Amino acid sequence: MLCKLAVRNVRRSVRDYAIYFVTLLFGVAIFYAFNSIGAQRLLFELESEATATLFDSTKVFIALFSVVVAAVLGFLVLYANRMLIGRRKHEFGVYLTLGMSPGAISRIVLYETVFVGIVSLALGLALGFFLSQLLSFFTAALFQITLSEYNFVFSVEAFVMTLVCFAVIYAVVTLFNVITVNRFKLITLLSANARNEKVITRNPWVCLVVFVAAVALIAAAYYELAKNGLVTIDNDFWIATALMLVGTLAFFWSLAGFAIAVLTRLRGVYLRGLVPFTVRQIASKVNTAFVSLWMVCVLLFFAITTFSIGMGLISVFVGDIDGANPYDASIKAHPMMAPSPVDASEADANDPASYQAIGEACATKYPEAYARGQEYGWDMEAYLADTVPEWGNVVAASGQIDAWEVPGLTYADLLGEREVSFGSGVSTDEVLAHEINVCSRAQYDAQLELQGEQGAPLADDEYLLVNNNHITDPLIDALIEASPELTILGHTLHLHNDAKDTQLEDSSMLSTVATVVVPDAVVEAMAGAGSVPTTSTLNVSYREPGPVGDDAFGRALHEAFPPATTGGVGATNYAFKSMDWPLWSYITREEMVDQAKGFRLLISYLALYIGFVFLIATAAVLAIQQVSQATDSEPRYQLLSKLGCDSRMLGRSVLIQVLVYFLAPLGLAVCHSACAIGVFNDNLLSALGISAAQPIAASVVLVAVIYGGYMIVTYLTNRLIIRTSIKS
Amino acid sequence: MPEIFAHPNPSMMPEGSLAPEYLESSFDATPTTPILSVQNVEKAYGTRDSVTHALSGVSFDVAPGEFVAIMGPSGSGKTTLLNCISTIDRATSGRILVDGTDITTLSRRKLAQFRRDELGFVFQDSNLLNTLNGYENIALALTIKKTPPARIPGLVDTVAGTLGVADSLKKFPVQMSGGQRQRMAAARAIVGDPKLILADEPTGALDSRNATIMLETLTMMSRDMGATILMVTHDAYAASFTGRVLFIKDGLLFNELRRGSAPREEFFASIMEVIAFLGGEAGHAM
Repeated sequence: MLCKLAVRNVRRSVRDYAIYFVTLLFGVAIFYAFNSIGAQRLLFELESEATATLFDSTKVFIALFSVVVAAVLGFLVLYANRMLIGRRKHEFGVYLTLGMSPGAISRIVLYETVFVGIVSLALGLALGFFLSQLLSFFTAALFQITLSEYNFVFSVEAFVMTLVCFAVIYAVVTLFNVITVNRFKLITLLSANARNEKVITRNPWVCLVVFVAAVALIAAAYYELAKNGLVTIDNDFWIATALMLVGTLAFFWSLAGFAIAVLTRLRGVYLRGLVPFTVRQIASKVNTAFVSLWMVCVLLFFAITTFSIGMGLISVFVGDIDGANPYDASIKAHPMMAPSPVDASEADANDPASYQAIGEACATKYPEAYARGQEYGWDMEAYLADTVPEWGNVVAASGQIDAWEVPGLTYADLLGEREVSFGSGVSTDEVLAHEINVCSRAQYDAQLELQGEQGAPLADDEYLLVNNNHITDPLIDALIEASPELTILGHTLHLHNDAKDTQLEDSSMLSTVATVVVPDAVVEAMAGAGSVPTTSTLNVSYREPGPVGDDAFGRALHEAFPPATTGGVGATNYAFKSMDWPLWSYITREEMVDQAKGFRLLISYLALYIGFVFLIATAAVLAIQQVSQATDSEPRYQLLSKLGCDSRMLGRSVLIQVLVYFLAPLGLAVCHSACAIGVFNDNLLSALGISAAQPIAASVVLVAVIYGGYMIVTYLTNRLIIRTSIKS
Repeated sequence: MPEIFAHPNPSMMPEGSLAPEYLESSFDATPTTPILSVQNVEKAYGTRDSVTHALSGVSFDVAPGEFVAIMGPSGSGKTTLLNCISTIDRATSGRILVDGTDITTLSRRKLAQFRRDELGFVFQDSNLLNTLNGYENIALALTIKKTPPARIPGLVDTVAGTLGVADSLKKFPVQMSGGQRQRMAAARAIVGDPKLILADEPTGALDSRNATIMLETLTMMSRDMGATILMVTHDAYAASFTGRVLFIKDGLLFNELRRGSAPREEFFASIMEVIAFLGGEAGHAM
């Protein structure tokens, strides 16, 4: 009997429940679909172990963030339930008056919650199943793979996880509801309707002061954030966060009072049509629900910012990945890792003693490496060909490039009087205080040859600037303009009037930073004076391209230089014994591209997951509030209709109410996000030459579709409520 | 003592006839066109099988500046009649002319426009919007009919002053007394200078002192401000403030009582007599 009543109650209040129910359904579906990512890897032809780990690590991260997502969804369910229970106080009062026991009412509520829970879980999982199939197409697009054979993927793990997570949420909600219902007092229940109509008004002068203070706090938060630069999490960051939270809360507390104080003084605007009614209607809702508006705003800000920054980071780490890896692999050696042993101010680029000091320092600090290097004349390939038995079978061609430090000659010296700035996120002075690195033209040309390009047309008294890192672009421009002369050990060189952008190693990013290519004679002179290279890189081409060659290369090094202890190194790489020269570390193109793909997969999924859930949760809270206000306000609309407002006027008023109520928190959240993304853009993206337009456009689309969708549905629901109520 | 007469059942009159002759001929005021002319209005509810006739052919006229009460027992059809006149409900047949316009043929949108331009409403429970303060509640009647904003403050202040609610303009309805709320509602009804004010039990929720103030306010609106008021009431005391009382019973106009120049107490006694007669015949009190 009670069960029947419960089911009928839910069916009757389907209008109140609809948006909440659909949101719950989406929540379950998204939760399942994203957690099923681990199972998707079955779909893809796994070319290497690397791809499998990508899926595994993405799955782990999604599962971690699912805790946050579950918390947000749990909050939404609790909030919506409290609201729906609160609105039915009068109904419960009637049950009690008719002699129903509080226990029976608790049971009705219990059945209702369980009923809604089971139905939403079942439908949500079904929807989630289809959503996860869609996601696998998205994954395929991310990997630029076409799915040759498609199978439906079902993840038992995600299924169980979803069930458990939502079962816990519903259990908490049920407990909460039963406690709430048991605490009801008959008198408050029966007078609940009257109290619902209480109107909160605030002193306009207080609101004015608080509003100005709120705007000041938010401005201060923006200032602190700009100071912090979003590169580190320091005190400024926490101050900015606290100021933003307090300022936003004060903003919504005072917003309505402030707006009314201003609007009522603008008679020409205020005293028109239903404006006074609409304004008061919004104000009363904003005044009572300012805390939830605050939370919605903060969550929206978080969603928009993480989504945009996440998408921006993808460009940072993935955008240049092909350009950053022109070689099959790069082996790195560090003959002289420590900074120059002689102070830059005391060293002299024309004094052989300064060069000798570098060599001596290397001999003392890294005696083994020094001895090995001297023996082979710092020729990495010679050593490796001797030591690695398979070398000739795996490597088709190679080219070494050494960077030699010029003692006492810094980039600042070259610049002279000119000023350069790399953007607020990079300490320009530190970069400029660096002594310049030179490499020989022969070695540079060897790299071009490996890439299948022509050598540089350089005269014998010329030096060439090579740079492809966007951060140091301004330095190159300034140097080209200054065109300084270089003198190294008596060789005077003029700047070749054109810079090159060759990538000189495999890396996760474009990493050639203001390298100076000089005639071979200059490097020979430096070596003759007793210096050693600071870093050496040997770039190689495999005999067998792609994963096969990559595997052979790794195995060859692993076998030639077995590590002292095995294990502890990821399965993607063959472990090897690292030494200062010539095998300190190596990077392969396969590895970098896989890493980038994995990163793109991880960030895209996390950004979408968080973006989706936060957007539906916040939009649903606003939608539920708006629909319940419309239901509460039915008598007001009936009165307005009697006074002669046609349904078009009322519809317009409803539209404005919904628009303002949805757009106020979004507007402030967009301001906050614009500030955060702007700071991020100034300090990182623009310095890296990446446009923020694409990530911003992506988040605009996401917000417009989801948040906008909820807004439209809310408007249509409210208009229907009002049309029905004025016709009856 | 005013004359009491039972008039013939209007539904017996020929179809399409205009306002009953005797009303115009017996009317003291200048014989202008009536502001309201209800002609043979019928209203039936229900399905084809079980039809309830709430109104079975009611006809009467109200002249400009008149203050008329409609009385009748519960279920007599007086509220249905008011709803038909106020265009909230549609008559099944018959014509209702307000200042010459037949409102029974207007479209839905035209009806809304008609209500906001030509009618004023006072309800039993004041029905002020509780989110709006007194000033805004009165102004709303003007803003929705697109009165230029510059003219609104003057109109509101004048009406509020006349009706004695100038002090409460900044208050919200919850902060006002019942009497203040009703006078505020009266102010809202008259501020737009409507052709006709419809009052539905305007004193129903008030104590006797506030009821008297309210009724004096309505009388003053009719006498000094030229408002035409049609009031539905079951209260003889309230009805005695008007100039004419129409009695309705079982969907038919049963009797009409004119005050003429009689003092209020005397008119009240006459009304009571009719009520006693009605009650006796109908077998139940009003």
